[in-house]
Amino acid sequence: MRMRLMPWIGLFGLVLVCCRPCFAVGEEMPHANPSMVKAAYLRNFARYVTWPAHAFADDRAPWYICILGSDLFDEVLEQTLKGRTEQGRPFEVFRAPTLDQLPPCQIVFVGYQNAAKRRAALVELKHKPVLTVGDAPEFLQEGGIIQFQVGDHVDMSVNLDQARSVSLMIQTKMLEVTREVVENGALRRRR
Amino acid sequence: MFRQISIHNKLALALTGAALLAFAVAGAALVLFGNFTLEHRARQIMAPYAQLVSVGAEAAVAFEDSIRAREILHTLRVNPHILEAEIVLSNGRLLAGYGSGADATFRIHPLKADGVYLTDNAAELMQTLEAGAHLRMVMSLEELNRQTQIILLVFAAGEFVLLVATALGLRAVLQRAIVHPIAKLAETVEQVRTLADYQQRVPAVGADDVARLGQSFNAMMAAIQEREDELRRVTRFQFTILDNAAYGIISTTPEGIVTSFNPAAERLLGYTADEVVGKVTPACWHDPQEIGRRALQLSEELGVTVSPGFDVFTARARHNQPDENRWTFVRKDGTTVPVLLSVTALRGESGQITGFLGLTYDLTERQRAEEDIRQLNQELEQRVADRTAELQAANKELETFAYSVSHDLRAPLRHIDGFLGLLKSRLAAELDAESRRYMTNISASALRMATLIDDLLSFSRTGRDEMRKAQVDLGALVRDVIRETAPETPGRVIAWRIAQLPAVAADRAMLRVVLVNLISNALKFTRTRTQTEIEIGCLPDHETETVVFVRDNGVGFDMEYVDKLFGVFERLHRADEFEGTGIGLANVRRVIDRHGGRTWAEGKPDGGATFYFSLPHSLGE
Repeated sequence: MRMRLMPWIGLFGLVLVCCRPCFAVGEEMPHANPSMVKAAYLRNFARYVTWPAHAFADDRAPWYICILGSDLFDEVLEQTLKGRTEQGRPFEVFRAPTLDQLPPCQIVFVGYQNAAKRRAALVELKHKPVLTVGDAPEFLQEGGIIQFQVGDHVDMSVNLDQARSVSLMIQTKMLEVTREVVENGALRRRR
Repeated sequence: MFRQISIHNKLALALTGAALLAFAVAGAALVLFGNFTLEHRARQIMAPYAQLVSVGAEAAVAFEDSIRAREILHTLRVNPHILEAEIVLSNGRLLAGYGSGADATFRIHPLKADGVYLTDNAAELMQTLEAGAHLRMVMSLEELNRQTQIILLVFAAGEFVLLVATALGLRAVLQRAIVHPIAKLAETVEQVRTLADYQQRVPAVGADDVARLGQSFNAMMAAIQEREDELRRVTRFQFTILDNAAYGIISTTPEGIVTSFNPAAERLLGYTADEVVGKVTPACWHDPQEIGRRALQLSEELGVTVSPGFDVFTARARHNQPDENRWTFVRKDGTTVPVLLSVTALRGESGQITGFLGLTYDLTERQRAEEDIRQLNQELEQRVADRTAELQAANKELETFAYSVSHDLRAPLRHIDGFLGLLKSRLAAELDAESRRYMTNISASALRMATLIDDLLSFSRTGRDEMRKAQVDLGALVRDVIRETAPETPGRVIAWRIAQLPAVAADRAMLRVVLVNLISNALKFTRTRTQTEIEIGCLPDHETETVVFVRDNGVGFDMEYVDKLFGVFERLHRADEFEGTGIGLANVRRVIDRHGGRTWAEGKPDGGATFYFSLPHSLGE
């Protein structure tokens, strides 16, 4: 009889829930190395973005991460991705000043400072299942899919329209940490 | 102290104790259970939140987005008991924190394995998130503990009410089933004990132990009542005997104090039972001198010292010996009374003496009767002695007279015979034949008279002569007498059969007279027989006497006249058949009588005769 009372304790606790003032404190510490953050982001994209099957040579084919433009990540990118896999695929990093020097990649970081060069590269990739990533503020307007900047905070924006047009599915979870989303031609600020 | 409490209170105590114990155990169990399950309950509350945070913060962790992470942690505020939460990245950097209170401070906590950790008043949950990050969540246990306390209180109140109700109910049941019947039984037993009323019964319905106890008690009471009735009957019977017995019956304790004194004893001694019972010993009504004498006598008889007191009456009874004695009682008024007193020890089942019982009887009447008889006997004896003396004197006188007469008669008789001889010689020529025959007859008569007188004198001497007893060889004496009588039987053929004869104690001369008479008689009364047979012998195996017989095949006699045989001058035959004076057998009887023996005879006409005499073995006079 007494045993039967026990579940009541839990219920009672739930019933007694009441509202109280709460405080959340953010982390203000700056990132140690922006390159490391960017490298981690590139790896996360492989997880939270889904590519169509034809984007890979076969089931075992590795991720081809390509860096277009001047040397941006030093050796940090290779160090970050070395030995890791995502969805059963290892990573391979390619660097080249021009697109034609690169193999067909799943992720391309367009690091050109020159806007014209960026736009030309983006046009070329516009119809390919390639996730284009850059840090230029106009990157999304230029046809890129993900733009992010590493400062005190990492601000990330996503062009859903362009992603959908090349059959890339961006998981909702990733959108939770996105500042701005371009969807149906409109820029929506999320936070 | 617990033994003095009534069974009712004991039961109440036991029930209360059991209830309190059950209460304590249940309470302790509940507290223990509460403590044991605290972690589980805390986990139950915290785990869903942790899971929500874990799922929601996946991307935030992946992209190290502290803002998003903070947003997610902030949702925890719906539960005010969650005090703080934080997400720490794999590199140890704090991604985001949350605190419910203004004073919440954030610091890097040591990393622990996944699980719930309980501190005094809080539960800390650690959970691993994606990419090696960790969630740490702290919840206050204050509320949980308060709930536990409330439930404990509610439980305690309920349990207490339940236990009290149970205890009261049990007590009521026990009261009816056990306490009341036992109290009733105890009360009844007490009544039986104080009032000795064995008709008391207790109600005993049912089949449980208490009912069986009651039934057994009732059965026991019935048995006791039956025993009591029987005892009363026996007691009445014994009292009737005691009250109506002609014997004085007195019982005492082993020490001698009188315990009962029946009416016959009251009449005998003049005391009432109330005056003696429990107060005195029987020595009170005894002659102290008599007690002293009896003590000395008993000390000798039993070989132990018997003190002159109550022990005198019980010494023999103590040794299981019959004790019946004449005593002299001193009555209350000082007079004495002779009594017969028999004392018996009363013994218990194991044989120990529990008292003594004396039966006493007034001997006054009996002693008087005995005295009368004794006096009468004495008188009678005196009279017999007097008469005997008279007879003996007369007899003596008669014998003396007969002797002197016989003696005096002999001289004139001799003169008659002498002068008749002279007359005969002078007148021989002148007398005719007739006259001479007369004179011869006169002479014969005188001679015969002389013989008679001699016999009479000898018989008289037999009675008067002094007797000198000695061992006499009977066989030699018999042969001597036969040889002596041989000249009297010239030419006769006589077959003597003489057995081995013993030596006897007798006066030799007198015994010779006896044998001469008997053998002469045998020869005389066999004279007509051509073949004479005479047998002399002893009857076998007589312990106290020797019996000698003389048997012949002579003319015998008619047993009708056997009594006359041994009389003086008594004759069964005419003198012309067998001569004799009739004094012989009278002499035989007189001699044997003087020896203390007997004489008797057997015979039949023409069939021989046997004469017997006996002589005692002893030499005493």
